[in-house]
Amino acid sequence: MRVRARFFGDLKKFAPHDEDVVEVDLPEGSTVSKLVDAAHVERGELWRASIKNQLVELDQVLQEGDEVFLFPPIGGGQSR
Amino acid sequence: MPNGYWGKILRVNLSTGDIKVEENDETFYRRYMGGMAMVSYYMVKELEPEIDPLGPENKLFIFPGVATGVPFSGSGRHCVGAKSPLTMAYGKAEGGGHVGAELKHAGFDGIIVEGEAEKPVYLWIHDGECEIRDAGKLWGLPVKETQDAMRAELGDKLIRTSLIGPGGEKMVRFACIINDLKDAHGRTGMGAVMGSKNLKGLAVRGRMQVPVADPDKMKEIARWAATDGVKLAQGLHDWGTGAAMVGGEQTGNLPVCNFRGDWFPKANDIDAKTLGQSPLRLGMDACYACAVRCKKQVKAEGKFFSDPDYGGPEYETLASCGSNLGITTLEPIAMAHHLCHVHSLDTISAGAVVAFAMDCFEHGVLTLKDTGGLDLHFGNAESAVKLIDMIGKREGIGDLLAEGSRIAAQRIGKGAERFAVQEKGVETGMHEPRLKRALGVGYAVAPHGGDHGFGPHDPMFEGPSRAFDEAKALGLLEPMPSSEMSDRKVALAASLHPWVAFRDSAVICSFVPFGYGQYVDIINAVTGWNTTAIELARVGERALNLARVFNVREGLTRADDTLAPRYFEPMVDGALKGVAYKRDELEEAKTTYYTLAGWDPQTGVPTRAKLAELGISWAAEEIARVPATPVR
Repeated sequence: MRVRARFFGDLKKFAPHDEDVVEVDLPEGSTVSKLVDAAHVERGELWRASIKNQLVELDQVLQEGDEVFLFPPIGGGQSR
Repeated sequence: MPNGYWGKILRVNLSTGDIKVEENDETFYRRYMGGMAMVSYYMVKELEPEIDPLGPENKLFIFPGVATGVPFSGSGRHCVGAKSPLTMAYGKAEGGGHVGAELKHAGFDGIIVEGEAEKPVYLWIHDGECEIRDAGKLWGLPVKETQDAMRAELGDKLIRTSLIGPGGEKMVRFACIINDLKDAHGRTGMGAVMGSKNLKGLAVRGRMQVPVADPDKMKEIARWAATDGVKLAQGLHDWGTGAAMVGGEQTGNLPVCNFRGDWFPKANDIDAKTLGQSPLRLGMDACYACAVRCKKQVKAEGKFFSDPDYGGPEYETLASCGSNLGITTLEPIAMAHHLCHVHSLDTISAGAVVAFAMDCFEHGVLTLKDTGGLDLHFGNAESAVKLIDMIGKREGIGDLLAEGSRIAAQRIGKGAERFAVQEKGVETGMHEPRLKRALGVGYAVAPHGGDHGFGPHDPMFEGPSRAFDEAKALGLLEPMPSSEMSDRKVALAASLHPWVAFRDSAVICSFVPFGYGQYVDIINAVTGWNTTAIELARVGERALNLARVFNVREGLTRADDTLAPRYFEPMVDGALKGVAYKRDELEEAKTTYYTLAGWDPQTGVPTRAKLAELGISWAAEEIARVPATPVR
């Protein structure tokens, strides 16, 4: 199945080719965690993830076409 | 005199016209280092209790730090302090740009401005000299026209300026001071204090390099900041602050309609990344010597316009003049930023005061009759922009709102205090304490009111982020959920606050991701001292304890260390629907915090032992001068 990861704030550095979104093919039944790894995002830099405006845990199972928003910790300037 | 300083502090009396240069010994410089700590020292030493913050007895303390003006990323900031017309107690604000560095290059470690000029004046400071000049023709001009006129008069386009606009002249209580045209000493009304002295601002030009003990080490640090440091702050470099507003909205951090707690589906439409990808953003700019370059330049034309020479909105402005007003497009936010810079108003307080007025209006506490026909429903961008202009000019209801939300609420009555989102009179930064519990403690105990810069920002300490990894160097080893409220969470705040105060004393920008060990390296490389992290944290503690002594002497008590009423109400919707800050939880946290800080656990007054540990036992005598009846 094809899913997308969208990077916010400082996480943009993990996006290839200066894009803020990456599409990944994953096996059916894959979780958010699998997508995070496939997008090469360091776990320590990730704070929260959401799908369709709802926060999700890393063990949430993905559906075909899901777009997962990945957020860094929200600090004093929002992304730091 | 150690490297990093000139040993010269300028004292200017605007009442008499006297100008002096004062010298202090190395121990003084090592004890206070600059910025916030020097401001705190002079405020306790030189200001009498209960003076009018907008009277001639108040003084304006302008202090760069040991690091300011040394060429490396993050060294462009300086601190301005005075008794605040908002807190009616301690006030200070850091600001970026080039003026602090220029002041050091002109041969001064700081300026103390006393008295009140008979007619409008400005200070021309250059290469070890200072002159008081007539500003009669400049009074009433916006910030940009003032800078243009000063540069033309002095015949030097490279002059740096620190100015007020008409809002400062009219003593809007949350007026700020604008460095050049883009960067603000935003919080606590320092622009109003400048205006009260008939001082239009400073023009500064310097050509001397700050002496540095170990130039090779400083070059190494500067190289790291410009390479690895920038990579670590890539989001700020590309977009500036505010590039994760959707994350803020979806986790409950983003303030919506006066912090009522709600979803804001248009968060992405006013995000810094959206702004950066739009034609509105012309480019990015930097403070002195900084490679992070987080400052936006934004141009809007048409009904809502903004001049790119005034820079562009930071996250705080995108939220305070955007989501917190229910405004969903970038152009009116850009214009709000523009107007705040024209008038020299703090964008956080200006937006928050408009949010206060809108909340009052929606609850029938203010009516069309009160507003002069202005429809103040949330989301009305035309009205919001108009109101900011009216505040800057003190026109109509703008005159009342120019007093800040705390005083305006007292004058309006009818329960308006509920809608004033402020701590110690200072409108809260744009971060939600019902999400960030330790930040809530910071808002409550900060000597200068609801400052988001005081931190800590709990999400950074949930797991192995860079901030968390850095904090391990301070012995903070355990990750904690943002929602946790516990002794160990309070200990996190109490451990980090001295470091924030150190950074604001040195003065080093928090957006350049130096670790604690690197701060030690910087101070040693600049000064040639053999400092350690323990000494640097004590500098910060000294700043905080003297600020606390100042407030105790003004009659502030434990009761003043609280949060805005709004945060004790449950959030109406959004990711944190139903969540509230609990009063008993905050009281318990304060007792823990006071104990850890070495203050009396019940009153929050610094103990003699703590003051002795910090080498400021003399301050204990100041505590004895507490007035019998608190005056505010």
